[in-house]
Amino acid sequence: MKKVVSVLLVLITVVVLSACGKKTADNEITFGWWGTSDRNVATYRAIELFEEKYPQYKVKGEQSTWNGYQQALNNKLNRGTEADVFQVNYNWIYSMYGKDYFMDITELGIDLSKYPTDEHKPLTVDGKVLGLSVSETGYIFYLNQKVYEDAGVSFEGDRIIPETWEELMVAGETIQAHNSSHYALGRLDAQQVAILMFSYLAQKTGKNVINENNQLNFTQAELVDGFNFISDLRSTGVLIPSNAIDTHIDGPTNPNWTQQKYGGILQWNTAISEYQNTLPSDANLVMAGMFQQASGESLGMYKKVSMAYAVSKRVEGSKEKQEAVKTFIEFMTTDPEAVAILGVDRGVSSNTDTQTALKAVSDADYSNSLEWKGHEVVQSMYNHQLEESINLYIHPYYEHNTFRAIYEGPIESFLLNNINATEAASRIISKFNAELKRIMED
Amino acid sequence: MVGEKKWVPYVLLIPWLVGFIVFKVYPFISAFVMSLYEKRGRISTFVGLKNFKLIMDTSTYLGEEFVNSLKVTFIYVFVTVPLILIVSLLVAYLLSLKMKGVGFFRTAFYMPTVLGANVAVIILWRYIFEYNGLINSGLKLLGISPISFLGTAGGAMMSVVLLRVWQFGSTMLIFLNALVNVPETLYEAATIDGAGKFKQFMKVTIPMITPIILFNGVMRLVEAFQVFNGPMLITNGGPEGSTNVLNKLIYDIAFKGGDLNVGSAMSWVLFVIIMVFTVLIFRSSKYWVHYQD
Repeated sequence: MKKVVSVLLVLITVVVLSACGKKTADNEITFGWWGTSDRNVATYRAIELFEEKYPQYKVKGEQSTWNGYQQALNNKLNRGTEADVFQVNYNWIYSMYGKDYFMDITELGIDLSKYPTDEHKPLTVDGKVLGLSVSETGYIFYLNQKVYEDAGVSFEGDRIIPETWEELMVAGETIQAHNSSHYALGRLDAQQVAILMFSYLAQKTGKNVINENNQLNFTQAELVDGFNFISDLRSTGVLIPSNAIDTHIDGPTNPNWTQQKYGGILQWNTAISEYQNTLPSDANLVMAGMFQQASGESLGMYKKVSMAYAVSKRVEGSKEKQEAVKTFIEFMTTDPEAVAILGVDRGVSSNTDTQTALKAVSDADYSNSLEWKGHEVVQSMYNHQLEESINLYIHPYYEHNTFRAIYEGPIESFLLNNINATEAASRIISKFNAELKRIMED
Repeated sequence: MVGEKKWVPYVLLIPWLVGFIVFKVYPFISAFVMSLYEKRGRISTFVGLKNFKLIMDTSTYLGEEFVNSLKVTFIYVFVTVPLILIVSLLVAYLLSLKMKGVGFFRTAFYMPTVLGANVAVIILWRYIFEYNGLINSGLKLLGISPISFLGTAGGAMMSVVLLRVWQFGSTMLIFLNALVNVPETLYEAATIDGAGKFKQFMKVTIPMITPIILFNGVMRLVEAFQVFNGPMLITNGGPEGSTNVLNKLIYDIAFKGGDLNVGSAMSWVLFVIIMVFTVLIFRSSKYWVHYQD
């Protein structure tokens, strides 16, 4: 019987330990990503096509929802069980110690010459390019034109969509007068209000929220001005007067959005489809860019790499695997058929070959999509700002999980009307620099 | 033959033992080891109690959040546990009375426990407490102004507490079993002595079931300190961190933030707190728990 016990123990140990560690054959590629069902379907179709074109390789897809992806990836990296190629957010290159876990993609020989010169600069640490940019993104206003038209909003000529903050506030007042439960925008959460306020302050001061010395770039007075501006948006029917009167935590499924009581949203141009898909068929979501201090200006656009493909450092150990991974990544980003299948669901790539392939797709007008229109505005505004010597590239730690609370916490309290503008500004200033320094050194 | 049979229980215990070692003992010990290290990328450095000092330092954001989470957790525990004990005992008492259709009510009151704090129930809970949810729709019909349950600290805490109290079925069943086992002769003697129903409940029923109150109290206390689902899915720890219980903070720091070392330190503080309270309750039990033997 002792033997039976011993055999059982060995078997159980083998079963338990076999779950640990992950080594696939050199012609097998694992690919991990997050996404909604549309992205999942498109990605699997592209993988099938890849396996048809390159029968010597096998690809195993590891799909996930956005919720939980980062946590799972953190765990996998700790245990060394991450996929060979996986989707990452740009800031994870830093917060996840990418230089220890991600391979330098230039060693794979991937051609980066079709991207703008600085595209991969934010993904480069110690001279190593730790991710291939899939797309860039910026926060853009999208408006539901039906809400505006129903309220009879009109500006110069036939133009319905406002261009300046002042026009937006006029629209808010008109919409409120038409129906007191309708708003020009509606509910924005603390993350959205933060970027709105920092965009507004950037327009007025020309400053990025975090300077080159990794410190808060705005003064107390400037922040108070930003908060007072948010108050103005609330008192003119642009934003709801208090976030306590709408406690939904998921924007796209918020009934006030789906029932067209809210007239707009501030969202990454790469993620607007989530909001578009939940609107009824009579809605007409249009890209409104970034509202300005005065007509004709083009300022206040922050941007960043939306997402990147990272390669596990494990791949460095095999030339055959490197070749397989390189072939797969190039296929996913530049093969005309694959590009046509994947569309703009991961945003619009800055790779000129990819853009050409997307424009050539006959059965889908990608260049007329909200994502593409947003992409063009983000790029043109950002480049215009550079000409004015204003650089609003998003700092890699701006969206760090714990650091965000430093500015989003006071903004949330302000949106709930629990603190005033001065107190909110003071609370941001009191911990901003110290906490940013701590997480950057961590 | 007889000697060989002695092995059988041990063999049958192996699946449990393996699970216990792999999923309980190993993480328990490794979490403590991890709490003494700092990991930057692939390099782990022994830092002693640095992580514990860091989370206690209220001049930092992390320390401030940790102390806030401790406060929130204590509020949750010391509101939820007494409430769940009182509600379940009262309902169990009512269900122990000989009434028509009592079986139906026993099942009905147990249903919320079967449903648990799963995602569907929590979404339902949100619809009840949303600003334009079920309760406020009812208030509107009565001409009463809506209340922002999930938009205020007190309202949000109340909604997560109520979710747990609503699931009082298991506690109630244990109480019910204890109540029906109180010897009838004690009530007869108390009746002869002139004690009314309330006095009988306070002087006979409660003392007789104190071992069960102790058991339920400890179980619910340990469970309440480890609450996660409700605050995570109903309020996401908000508004303004007012429901950001310790387990939620640990999850954010360890898994979302990827700092397993600091998360482990927090877990061990939580473990020590639970242990201290459990020991205190057991120590105090000699003053208020009555065993029939």
